[in-house]
Amino acid sequence: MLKMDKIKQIKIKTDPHKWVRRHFSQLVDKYAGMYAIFANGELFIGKDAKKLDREASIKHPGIIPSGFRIPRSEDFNCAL
Amino acid sequence: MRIIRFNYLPHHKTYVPVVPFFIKGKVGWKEVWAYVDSGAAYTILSSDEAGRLDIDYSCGKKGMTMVGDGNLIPVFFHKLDIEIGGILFRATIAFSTNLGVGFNLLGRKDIFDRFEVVFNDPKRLITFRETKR
Repeated sequence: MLKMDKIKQIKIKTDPHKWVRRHFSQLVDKYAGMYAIFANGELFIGKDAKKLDREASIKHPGIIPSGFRIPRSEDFNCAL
Repeated sequence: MRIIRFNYLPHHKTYVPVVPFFIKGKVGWKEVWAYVDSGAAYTILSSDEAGRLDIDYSCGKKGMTMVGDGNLIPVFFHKLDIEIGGILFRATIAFSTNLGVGFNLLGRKDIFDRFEVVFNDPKRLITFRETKR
């Protein structure tokens, strides 16, 4: 589990939308409850969405970051 | 009339209609992902997203919305520019610090009256068909 101030960075080689669809289960299994931000072929994972987004924007200026809170397994059985 | 299709997101053997869309905040555009929820009266995003957008969510008009167990949670309404599949429009977006479910919710107001939204669970596909206005 990552600490509050830690940001994990992972390089991804494919389109982020395709990557998310292919690896969504892995994100949920490993990082549920944390936040994921994608920018220019890099994935940032941590607990503070604003901090992650800022980090991504600084590292990849001009790129629109994409992100979401990684759901927990139980979120998939909710009644919305 | 444009048609936008998204594949459901898979989690092991469960598939959910979670889609990406763009939203404009004080620091420009961001892409967020949300569960398309025909049972939600309006779009509700986690206050985390307000942080990303550099929006003081508490400045919005306050309201209360009922959740699954009958409890009410506070939400703060804002009118923001959003873009779905290249279609740009202004939509009501609520932010909440109490969104218990782990997804943002893309709800009906300003979304379902702009698009015909078709859930195709067998094909794990959600379609947004732009409607005439």
